[in-house]
Amino acid sequence: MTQEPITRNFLDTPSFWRDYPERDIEFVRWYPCDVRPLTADQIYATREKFPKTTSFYVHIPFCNQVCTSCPYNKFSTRNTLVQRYLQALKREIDLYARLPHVKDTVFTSGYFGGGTPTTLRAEELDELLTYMKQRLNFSADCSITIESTPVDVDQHKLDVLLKHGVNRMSLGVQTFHDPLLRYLGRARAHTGESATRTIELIDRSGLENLCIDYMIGIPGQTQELWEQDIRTLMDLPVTSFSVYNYAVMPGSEVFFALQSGATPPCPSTREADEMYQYLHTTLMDAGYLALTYNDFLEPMRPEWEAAGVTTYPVLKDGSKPYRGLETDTFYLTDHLSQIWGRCGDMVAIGSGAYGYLNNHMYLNEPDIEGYISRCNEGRLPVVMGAYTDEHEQRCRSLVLGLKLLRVKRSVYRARHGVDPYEYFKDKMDDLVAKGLIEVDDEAIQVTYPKGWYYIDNISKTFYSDANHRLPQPTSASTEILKWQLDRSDGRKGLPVVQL
Amino acid sequence: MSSSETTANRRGRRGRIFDLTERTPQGDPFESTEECRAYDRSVRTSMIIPMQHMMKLVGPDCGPDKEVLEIGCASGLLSLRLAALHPGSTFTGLDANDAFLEVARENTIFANLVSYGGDFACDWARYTRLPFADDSFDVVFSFCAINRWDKPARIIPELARVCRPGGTVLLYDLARDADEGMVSFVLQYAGGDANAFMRSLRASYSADEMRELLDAAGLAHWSVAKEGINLIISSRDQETGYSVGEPGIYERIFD
Repeated sequence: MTQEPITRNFLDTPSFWRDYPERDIEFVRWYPCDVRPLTADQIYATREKFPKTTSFYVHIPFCNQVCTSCPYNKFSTRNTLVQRYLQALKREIDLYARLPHVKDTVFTSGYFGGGTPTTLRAEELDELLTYMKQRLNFSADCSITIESTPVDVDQHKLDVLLKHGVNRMSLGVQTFHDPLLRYLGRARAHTGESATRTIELIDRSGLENLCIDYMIGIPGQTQELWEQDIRTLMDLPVTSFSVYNYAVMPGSEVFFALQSGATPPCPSTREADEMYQYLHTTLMDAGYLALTYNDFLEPMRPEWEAAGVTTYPVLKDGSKPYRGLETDTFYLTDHLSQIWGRCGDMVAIGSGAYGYLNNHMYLNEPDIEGYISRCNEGRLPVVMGAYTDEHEQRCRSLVLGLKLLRVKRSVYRARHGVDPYEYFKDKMDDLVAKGLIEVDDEAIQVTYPKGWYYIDNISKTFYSDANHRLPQPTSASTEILKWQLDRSDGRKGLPVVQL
Repeated sequence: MSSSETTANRRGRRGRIFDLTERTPQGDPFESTEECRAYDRSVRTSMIIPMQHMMKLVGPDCGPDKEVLEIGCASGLLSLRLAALHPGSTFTGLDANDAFLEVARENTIFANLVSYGGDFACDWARYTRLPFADDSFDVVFSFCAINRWDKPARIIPELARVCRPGGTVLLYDLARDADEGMVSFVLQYAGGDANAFMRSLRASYSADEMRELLDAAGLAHWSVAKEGINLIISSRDQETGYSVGEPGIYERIFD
């Protein structure tokens, strides 16, 4: 009989946790994972932190074309709903503007994600950004990113965004090959040619940092097509670049198209690995700087160097001249260093947004109508999250910090009062023995290329016992809360709340 | 000062997130044809991976020219798919729920319309008294049905009775003692009806309970395995693992 292979690409249920030597590919982005019911009152009951700077994440859960492979919270754009949602966002911003935790800090970076934030009309973007800047303190060099598809941005929107200091746009290009875009279900959305036109438009507009996203593992993708995409990338006026693994969701349209042979198969694990290897060697041979294992920045420019931007050697033995960027020395990468490197505060605004404030990671109500009601009632729409005590904070600084490939021991000691190597000696020694990290007096550094390849395994090594073998929490539902045991036996600072 | 966490602490965490310690029988929760159609849709989507896993396990035994029985065939999808792959074999699906049989007949009509070429028929039966002589089938299987059974201790021996010596009995269901991370993952990412999933999980057996049940039924030689969130019971030893693709180049370069 014909056997349908269950490949890693099919996101079979065990795939969210794999132990070395199997490669974990979950893509760690939030921590902790052990989420519970949580309210805003609980987050702010006792003020534990007095940060000088903070970041924001605004979630716009609308798309003109919903992708079947996207795990985030989103809806097809409907105008009346968008209007009511934007009103609710303003109510939420008002509530934060009055909160002492937010009032006393300065926003040094922010991010509009989704969904597709640029599905909003230029006037709506203008109104939202104006409203935020009137009520929240933005620093002069605040670095603001907005996500977009190649078709949801035009000159009018760009003018508005630039006027408000948005200086980074992350464009979901995925690939420049039209047949592959068709297999992804993007045929009605964009083509390689329209993506190129949009990139040129953005470049002419003077936006400082244009980032494009690619995916590895698309049905029909081959090494040859991938190499063409990388050449295209290097020829285009693109400042930074991210690559993600494409995961086929079981039961999705793409899943059945693959099974019936309507689309060619996804690249095998080995082929996908070879594409990734081609990518990082080609980019770094050309002088591109590594931000994470999957984010890269154009070769160093004199003006950046003059402004104090610094790099470190990716290979300590100097066998290759590859460099990684110290993200906290560069304002354009402030969002990454704020949320992962420094594990700093991030105010979550919008339905299905994750944030981190006052030592609590939290999620806003993902049900859009529920979110709108809560905001209109004058209540912050926090529904779920986790408190991080000192131990969890020490874990978090490595789970997320090592995603930036390097954690400086002195910085960690200043933040936590302990040395990361001494505190996690057994785990660190084990990772060193496996060749995944290197430890010296200055820093804990992820090895290249092996550690890059195992980056999620490395992050998960530092999950606490309470989080061990738990999946990344979803931002699309709170279903899990209904089924949790009563936890009145007590997690510090997090009493159980009846929903 | 160092982190004091140990592997032993981690292992003790089962039962800390979800209320799954005690089995909570739910009976057969599918009352209307519409509910059964909804379940049918979830088998096609959110349960597609376990269904394919089951096909991989039981498929090789289903042909050529075999008599195959599915107990609790629900909407019949699994038997229909296997029947299409093994046109020389005869597939019989039994269910004690008439609403499910109605949906199974709808699916069979559609399968015949598209000339699937299999031999499948479904009928009503009481599982504790199967309307077949001893040793009637080469393969007896069930998929995600045990959690709907009131009396598995009386049903499982019946399955053994109607299966020929040397044949295969293979039962696939949820494992109530599955890793809680896995339960969390399915609840958050698998889609489908979370209420139905959790009710079924709470009504399902742990590996130890199933072992006890089999031992008491004189079936100590049957195997019980856990894979992911599932429990796999087999009348003979077999490899039950998921296949997760070929290793990547780095696994070969660095090891």
